Amino acid sequence: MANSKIIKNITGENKAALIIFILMGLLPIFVSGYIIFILPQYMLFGLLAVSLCILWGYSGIISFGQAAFFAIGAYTMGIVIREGGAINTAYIGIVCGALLSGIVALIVGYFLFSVKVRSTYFVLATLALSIIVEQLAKSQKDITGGWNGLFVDRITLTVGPFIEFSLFNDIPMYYFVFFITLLSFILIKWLMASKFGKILIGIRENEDRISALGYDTSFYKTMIFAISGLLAGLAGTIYGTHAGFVDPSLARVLFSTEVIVWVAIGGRNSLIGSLAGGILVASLSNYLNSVTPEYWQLIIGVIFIVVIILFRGGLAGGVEKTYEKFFR
Amino acid sequence: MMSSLLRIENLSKKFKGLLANDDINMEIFSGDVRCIIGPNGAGKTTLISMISGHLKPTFGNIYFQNKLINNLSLVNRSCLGIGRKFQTPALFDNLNVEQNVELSILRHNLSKKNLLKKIHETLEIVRLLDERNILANALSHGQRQWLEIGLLIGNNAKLLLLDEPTAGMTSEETYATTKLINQLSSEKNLSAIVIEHDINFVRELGAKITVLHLGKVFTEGTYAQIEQNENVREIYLGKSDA
Repeated sequence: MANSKIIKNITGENKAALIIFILMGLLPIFVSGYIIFILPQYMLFGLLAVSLCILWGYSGIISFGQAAFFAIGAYTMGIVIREGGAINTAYIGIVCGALLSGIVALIVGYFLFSVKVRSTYFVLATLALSIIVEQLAKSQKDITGGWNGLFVDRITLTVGPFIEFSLFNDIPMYYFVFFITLLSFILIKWLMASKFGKILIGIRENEDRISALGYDTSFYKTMIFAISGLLAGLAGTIYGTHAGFVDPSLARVLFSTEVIVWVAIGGRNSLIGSLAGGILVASLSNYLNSVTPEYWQLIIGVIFIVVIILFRGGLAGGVEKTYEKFFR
Repeated sequence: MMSSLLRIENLSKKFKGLLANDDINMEIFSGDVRCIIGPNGAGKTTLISMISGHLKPTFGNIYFQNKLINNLSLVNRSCLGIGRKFQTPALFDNLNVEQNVELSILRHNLSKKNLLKKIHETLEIVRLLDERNILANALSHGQRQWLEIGLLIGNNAKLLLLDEPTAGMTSEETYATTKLINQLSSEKNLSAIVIEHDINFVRELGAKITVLHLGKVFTEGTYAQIEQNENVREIYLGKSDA
């Protein structure tokens, strides 16, 4: 009995997260080959979706710039590995990529939010950011490889001087990405349940009210934008080494729009919904693309519209409603 | 010894050609309740907005606890203890009553236990304990007004700026609101500046009244004095022909 009580105390969202992570953790036992190769990429897309969820769903800020941060992360990884160095370039690449994205977001956020730029104009600024990063990637041939892009090696993790852990093969890579995803998810979940997260929800609900209660909203918005950029950048660094190749299309506005579609389908108010949205929609896109290359975008579009019309809170909202209907 | 909480000196606000507030002077002590009345366009909300920090004065000074606060932002003024209730209640509509109050208290960085205690206390004062799990947008008009007052209490405001706190209330609720404001003043030593049109409310409140007219302080006094003032009747109803 005690056991079922504990299970009851876990919220529906956490149950869903638990199930999804257990499934992903056990998957390599049952399947192998292409799915295990490609799924880490979609987990990283899931993280990218989470980075938008904390902005859009929690704080009410839409960004068309998530791809820019993802690309900054991926390019940084590629450049760090190419240049090499005394210490393990894997760690340097990950840390530098994530930090650089975070810092760019911090600077952009600071200038936009401190002068009270709101909603529509902020969206335009993030659109511009995407375009700037894409243009930089194209034009700075010596650093980024221009149109041709950049090849990125798979990284090898080291612990101390003797223990090495190569991510060249799919299974180690799968579990590495799995743990990064899990860890980031738990940290973000914790952050959003903290005072900081609650104030962000307050900003989303009524910005005038929350600032009249003595909270400096531009500080909170700048911080969440920086954290969002950091997370997108982190996902980008690992994407770079996983995919083995980065090119300017990563920073395209089109890719940022895709992130918005993932989050909208998954459910923007739910962290696990967004993560699942990223993984599922990206997987589905890939599958449909191979089955029906002419119509796959049309099908995704129809799904997008249907989900938006049927469930206000995306798939996460739909699952929650269905669950309440049948189990309560 | 009463200590001065708010002092306004020669405060004026000009909107392009219009002088919305013209040379207003006022002093509020701790525990004071002040009622501001006046016909539409008298500059009541403008005055409150300058005290809360939503508007910058064109001329004049505002002192809070004897400190000049003209250049302090809205956020810093709320931190000092100036809390504003908006004309249309501004709440976190999609959050429940408890979460609304929690957001106002979070600023004090209390321990979990003290946070819950303070939420309970605050909800008790504004009589919303039974509604704690209801979404703010599902409350009645009157309850919404009270919840917003609750936010100010949870935020530890020392001076409550209440812009039409009884709009949309039944007469029973209106009466209860006057009691709430007077109770906060006598028990918690909170001060309040209340803008109101409802004359029953003004009478029940029994506070000192400032009448604003065309941006100026027209007259001040108790309810009985104001009621008998022919000129006040005139600015509200126009000159009688008789």
